[in-house]
Amino acid sequence: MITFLFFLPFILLFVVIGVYGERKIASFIQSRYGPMEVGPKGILQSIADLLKMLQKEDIRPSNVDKPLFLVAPLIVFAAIFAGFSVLPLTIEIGGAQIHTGLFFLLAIVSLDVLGILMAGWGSNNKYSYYGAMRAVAQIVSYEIPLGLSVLGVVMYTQTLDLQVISNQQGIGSLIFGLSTGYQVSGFLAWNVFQMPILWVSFLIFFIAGLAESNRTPFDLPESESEIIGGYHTEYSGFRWGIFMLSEYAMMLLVSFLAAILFFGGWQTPLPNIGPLKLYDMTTGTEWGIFWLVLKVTGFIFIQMWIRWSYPRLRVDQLMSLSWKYLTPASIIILFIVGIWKLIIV
Amino acid sequence: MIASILTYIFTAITIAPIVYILITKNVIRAVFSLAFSFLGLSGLYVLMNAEFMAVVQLLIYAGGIIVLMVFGLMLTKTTLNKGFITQHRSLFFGSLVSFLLFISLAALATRSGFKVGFTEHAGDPVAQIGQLFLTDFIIAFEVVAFLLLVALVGASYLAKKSGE
Repeated sequence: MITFLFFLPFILLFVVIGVYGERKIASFIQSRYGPMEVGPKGILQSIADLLKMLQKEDIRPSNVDKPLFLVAPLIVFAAIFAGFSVLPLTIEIGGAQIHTGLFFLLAIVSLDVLGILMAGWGSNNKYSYYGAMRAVAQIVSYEIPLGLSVLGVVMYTQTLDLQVISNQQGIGSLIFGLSTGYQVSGFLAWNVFQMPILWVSFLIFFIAGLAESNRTPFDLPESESEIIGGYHTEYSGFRWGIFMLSEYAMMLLVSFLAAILFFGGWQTPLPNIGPLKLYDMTTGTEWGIFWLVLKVTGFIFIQMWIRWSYPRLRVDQLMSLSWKYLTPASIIILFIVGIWKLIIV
Repeated sequence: MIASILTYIFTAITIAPIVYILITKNVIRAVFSLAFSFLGLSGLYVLMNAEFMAVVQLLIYAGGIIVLMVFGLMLTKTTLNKGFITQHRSLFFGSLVSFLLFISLAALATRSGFKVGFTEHAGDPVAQIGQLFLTDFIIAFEVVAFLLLVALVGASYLAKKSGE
């Protein structure tokens, strides 16, 4: 239920704010103003855009494969949205209670490839077709480093349940995976500090996550200058909006996952320092949501920052980055975490 | 009550796309409807408390095999306008063979002593599966791992050859 009650409105709200934020960050990086007309500092611009988009005609070209064309955006969004169902929000609100939470998330999110293929094939347009081929080749390739980097965390925490992973990053006595005898809390108990090799894992995860959500520098599937809009070239109005929504939802999901797996999830970053119980003071349901959303917003900001800082990769560079650098690196990390775990246990 | 209603719903989701595959002549739609069938099957696994199996079903069949099939179709045919249209050939013998296959499978399934029902598990199923893989089923596990390694090496060899 929490998925529908919290995450669905949250995604919608996030898209409205995110599009505005993205345009403002882009214009800041490029030394211009960005949207300034609608509302103070252009803050209502994305609401105006949303209203305009909802009123647009739902154009269905006559030569498309109709069932595939119509259902494709829904499948993409449903697959990504299903991934949100296992995310824990606070200590009480833990998402769907399944043991294979993380595995389920990665499996169900990979189904968005089907929707993209449907869109690319059903549109009966060569640009859509190439866009879909590129998207699928990219997503399938980058799922491997993504999965392997996540596996390092799973090996360290020994569970697939995201709520248990979040819980383990609260108060503990482990630093660098070794018991210190001191009680540590706050950011020192996060996975990246408990096991510093996971910083590299996080880097691989973040890069692969950018590729999974088709963000620059991995936006070949929808690069406007080459193939118009990729697999959503033929879409308009609300259906195009759903594709946009799923792209932002995917960004959000990757950021949530990064925060939960590596940076403590809903745990506060403030540690207990002697008598000053900052950790205890800043833990609770509202605080949990606050910290999680804060971390996620941070990652979203980094994603946008990267988008306006780096050029797009070529196809061969894209593939060699995934297969020749990220995959071997993540296997090595996995190996190191495994050995380390064997030694300290 | 809810579980049995859900069982019927997921069975319908599993079977209806298969029937559509039999009727349709459009191959690419057939492949996509197979994906829906796999989704229904994975729902049935969840209802039987085989959670891990359900996720594996999603990942390998719905996510992997279908994408492979669609890719194969897309790379073989380059003209987009027509789609993939097949014909219905040898209807009689086809139906006969599949009917016989169905009869023999049904006979096997009823005599094998499989328990149909919902068994509860205690503890973390993932940990149990992992321990079983490395104790009771170690040979099967290693053979599968070796097979996958051979497939991987073979695939990269083929890719290298065609690149030259």
